[in-house]
Amino acid sequence: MIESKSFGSKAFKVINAIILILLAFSCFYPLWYTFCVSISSKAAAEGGLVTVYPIGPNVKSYSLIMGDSAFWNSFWISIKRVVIGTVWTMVVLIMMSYPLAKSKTEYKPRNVLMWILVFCMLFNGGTIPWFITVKNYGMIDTMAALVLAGSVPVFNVLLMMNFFRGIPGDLEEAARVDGAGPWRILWQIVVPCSKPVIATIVLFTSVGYWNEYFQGLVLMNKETNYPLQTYIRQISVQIPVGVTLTAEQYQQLAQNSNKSLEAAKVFIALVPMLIVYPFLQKYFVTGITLGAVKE
Amino acid sequence: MKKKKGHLGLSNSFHYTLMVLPGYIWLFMFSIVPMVGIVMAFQDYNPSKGWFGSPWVGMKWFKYLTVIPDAKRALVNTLIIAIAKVILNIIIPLVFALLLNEVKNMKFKKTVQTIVYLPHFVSWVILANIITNILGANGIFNTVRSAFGATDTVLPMTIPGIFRQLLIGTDVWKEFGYNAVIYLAALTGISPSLYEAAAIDGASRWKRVWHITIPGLVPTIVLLTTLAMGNVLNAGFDQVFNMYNQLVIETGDIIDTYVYRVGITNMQFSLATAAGLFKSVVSFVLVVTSYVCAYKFADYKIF
Amino acid sequence: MKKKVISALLASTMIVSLVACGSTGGDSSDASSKGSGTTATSTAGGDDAATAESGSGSGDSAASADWIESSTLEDDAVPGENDDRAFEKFDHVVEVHYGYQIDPKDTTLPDGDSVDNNQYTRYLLDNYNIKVVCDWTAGNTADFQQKVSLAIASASLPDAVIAPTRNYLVQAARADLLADLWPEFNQYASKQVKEIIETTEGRAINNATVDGTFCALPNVSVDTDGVYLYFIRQDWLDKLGLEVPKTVDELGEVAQKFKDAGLSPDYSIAGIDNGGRTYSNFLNSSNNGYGFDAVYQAFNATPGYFLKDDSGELYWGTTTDEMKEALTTLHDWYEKGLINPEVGTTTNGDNANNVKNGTCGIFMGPWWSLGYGNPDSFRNDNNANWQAYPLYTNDGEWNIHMKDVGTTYTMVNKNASDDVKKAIVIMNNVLVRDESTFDTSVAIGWYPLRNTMAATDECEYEYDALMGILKGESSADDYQQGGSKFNGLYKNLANDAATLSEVISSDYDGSRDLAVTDMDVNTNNGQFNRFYALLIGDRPYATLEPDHKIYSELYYTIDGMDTYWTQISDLEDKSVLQFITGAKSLDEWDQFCTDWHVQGGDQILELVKDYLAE
Repeated sequence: MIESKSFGSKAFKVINAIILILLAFSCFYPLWYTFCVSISSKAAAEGGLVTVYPIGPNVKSYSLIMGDSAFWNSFWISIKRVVIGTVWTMVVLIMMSYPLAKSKTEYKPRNVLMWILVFCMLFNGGTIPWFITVKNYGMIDTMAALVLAGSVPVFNVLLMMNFFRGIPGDLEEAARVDGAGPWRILWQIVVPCSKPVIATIVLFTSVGYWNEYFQGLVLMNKETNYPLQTYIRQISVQIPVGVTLTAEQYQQLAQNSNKSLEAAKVFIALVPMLIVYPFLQKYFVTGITLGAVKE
Repeated sequence: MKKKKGHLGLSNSFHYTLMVLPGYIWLFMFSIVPMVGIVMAFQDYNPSKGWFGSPWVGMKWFKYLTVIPDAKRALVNTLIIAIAKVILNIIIPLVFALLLNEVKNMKFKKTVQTIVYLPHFVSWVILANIITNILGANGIFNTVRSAFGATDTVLPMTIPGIFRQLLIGTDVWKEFGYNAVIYLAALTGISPSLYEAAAIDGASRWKRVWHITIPGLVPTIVLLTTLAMGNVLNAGFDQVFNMYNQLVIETGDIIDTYVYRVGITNMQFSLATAAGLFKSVVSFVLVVTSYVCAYKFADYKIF
Repeated sequence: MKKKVISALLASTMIVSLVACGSTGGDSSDASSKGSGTTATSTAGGDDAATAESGSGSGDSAASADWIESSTLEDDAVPGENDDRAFEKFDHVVEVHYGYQIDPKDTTLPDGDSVDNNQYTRYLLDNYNIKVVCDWTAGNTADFQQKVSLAIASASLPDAVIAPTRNYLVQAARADLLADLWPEFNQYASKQVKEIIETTEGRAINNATVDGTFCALPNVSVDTDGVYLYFIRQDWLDKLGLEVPKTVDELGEVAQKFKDAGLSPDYSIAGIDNGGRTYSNFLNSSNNGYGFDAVYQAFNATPGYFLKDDSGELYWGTTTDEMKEALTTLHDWYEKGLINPEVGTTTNGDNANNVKNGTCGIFMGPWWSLGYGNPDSFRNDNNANWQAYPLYTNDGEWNIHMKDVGTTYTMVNKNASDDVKKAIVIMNNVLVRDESTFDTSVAIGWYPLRNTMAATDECEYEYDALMGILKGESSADDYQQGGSKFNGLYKNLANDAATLSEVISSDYDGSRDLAVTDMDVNTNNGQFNRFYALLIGDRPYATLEPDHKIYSELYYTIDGMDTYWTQISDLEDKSVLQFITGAKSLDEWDQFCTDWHVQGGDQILELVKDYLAE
């Protein structure tokens, strides 16, 4: 491509780069700030002295967390939830999306099934009926609830389905001629062709499971079963509207505030995501694009 | 068309049904069964009598919703916040994608991309915690202000007049990188030969963007706009729930948080269900409309 | 003694009238109220679900619904004496399931112990054969409320759970989820518990009764929890040579001087956290730490209460001219930077930061705000001489705001067996009797279903007793078990008397006001906090007679009120804070009052009027 080398063009380039750097900085800074607070001294953190670098750096918060069994317990639950949940969701979604990607002539109930999905995406009975249902299944306090209670991630089904639709039909046709059944076509032709969308949805699903806090709050009866985000919310939550504290509660509250410790917990909660994300990132651009915008 | 017989002599349809079965059982158990609870919206729900024994009250709660200012306020806030988010979440990522597209240094481009996608993957529980710290009295926001000579403390999270803007702004900030992905992909689809021809004709950078890039993106923009219609009542529960407080309830309360407060905190189970159902019905209508529009105008089948 | 009999009589007549109310006035469309009406009058054949299941248990235990007065009972305040009734060990293990709020940041629980397996639960199991099983826990108040709410909505309450406010009790009772606890409570409550209930003159029982059924153990807390004072750094006053402020104006001047002198560079007066209220209302009438209640009272305003004017007309305490004056002053303080600019927005107790670190010298709250409420400020500065004073009106009068008897309720599931109900009553008896003897190095909050009961005048009684010891009028031994002044009703007194000398210097003889310099902060910090709260924080209420005690006409929500209340309490909480910070101009005060009335206030006043007239 030919580039004009005028002054205006150069100026634009510089300004553009600055804008982009600022934007990128704005996205990076909050995480960096949290990290700085987490390794700053408690006094500096609470006095608002931390800006762009840590003050009085120390790892006290992290060593405190090391011995915090409740934190690591929740951390471990979140990891298990992500692994089990992602595997389960991927298997179900792949099997579910493939027939839905067929046309109505190829699979008759397809449209009805599709509308059911959309209906379920938009309607729900609300928190209370949902809680009662899960409770009646005997799933309170179980990993099953943390994995299943969120129901089918319909949006991801749509994404995958749209991607499957974009796979050239001749590939399947050729396999069919060779005598392959639907199952073999799905697992040996369609899935290998769909790496980007699968990687994308693996990313979405695992991040979704990792970030979810509400189900943990409602469906887990004991803190020992809380996933990490629920745990973090519980330690950083504010006093609800209209509640008066007793002397004892107040004392606890007054003694326990520790900004750098809180920041350290928040930061550790970010770490697994920061580790996994770069590996899947290269796929996810193709994944969502092809899933959403059909050629 | 003749039915093809597949594996084991059974029709493909049969196998397809087997494939969707686990997903639909899952859906049935956790989405459809709880929907029975929607009947509460038409009852005076009494827990000990349950969904089948509580007295019916018809549309009482819906009528009631139309007269309470809180519900109206929540609806207005929801509309303002959600519509602003819809619009800005289309425009800002577009601008960002265009700017990024002008960058020729691939390494720089990749780095920027990687960083701006990040916030999308951070939960609101954590972001709300971070934002509150940054904008608090001892946060960087006020530290910087006082470094520039300000003597007062400004707490954006507590000012009703700007809380909605704050919600919208932080949401757009969180999602712009991620939302730009689709545009960036569409941009790669625009043939480089067009640009080359334009450059030879001596078209300025601005002209090239205006006459080649934008028209190339129009279908994508139209599509995204149509798809976003379904979100007009979705102002983002997780975000608001984790960020709002008593002082800004007036401008920050949305339908979802209202439903939560009424149902869980005040235990008006039926009223909360009615409000939630109202939202679902409106959203459903909007989504169906957008489905029809997308099909008609963009020849795109969403599902 | 005579007074006690009268109050007991009062209690019993109240119950009889309530019962009558329940059986005649019940809503006929609601099957549950019919059931509960009969339960209260004749328990043996009453609540079908509860009694049918567990057989004859309650038949002989409560043949009559009359209150058994404490004076007729054997003294059982000493473990081992007369234990056969209120402290009987079950001959088999009784399991009690419960839901409970715990403190996720607590560090006192030894490794391996848990919410339902710790020194307190083992104590109950070993001595009473009561095995507690915790079905669910929640780590903060909001989450706990959510769990209780969901348990009510899904009709799945555990055997017992503590209702965080009366609203939960009413909802659960109306949903027909609660047991009639009257027979067990009347029969098995210890003498101490009964005495405490009797000090409330029927109010506690009235509160725990919904539609004629007594369905929860009421919490009874000290009256002084609702008496609001202001606290000030006496050492700063002395340093600047200032008099103790008596009125609001004087307090404002002192606050300005604290700021000008650089003692309070940020602000002089601390305020509430996000989610707090600047005043306590009829639903949460006590323990409003860091609220501005004392200021409102000094303007003759009683916001958040249902009051009656001279002609007997009911009105709402917030929408008054006095309130506007009070808010004008508070706004003025805010403008001058005297009040924390972050009032109402700080979280996690950050509103107390400057009090802790010694850069804020004024705040308001109930007695325990000193000591229990601000332990760090003494740890950071051993000479931080906080003192508590009443804030007077310009006419020199001291108004106080009387709180509800208690705010929380131990609700019992209607499907609980009679043994379980009895066990819950016994657990409460044990807590009241033995709390002061427990080793509290494990936080007492781990005691299952702890819903405190204290004599309403406990703090003042203790103040007098402890000051008596300090003045040499009596000795610590007099208050020990078997001593001449031992009184089991004041359950912490023996321990407090015994530890007094660990904290308060022997040089102090009670001839002048106690100061921090007379006390040892570090040796026994737990008791230091307690004595600071009792002897300095509660001094005004223990030694001065208020000119007016103001009660709300109502302390809980009534039928039909909730929907309006949700609406207008949001409006009120938000607006009041905005008037203070100036986000809303006081010119809009009249508009606010109109809005309040139009958006549901008038309906509420009507409802309350009708309710009170009945």
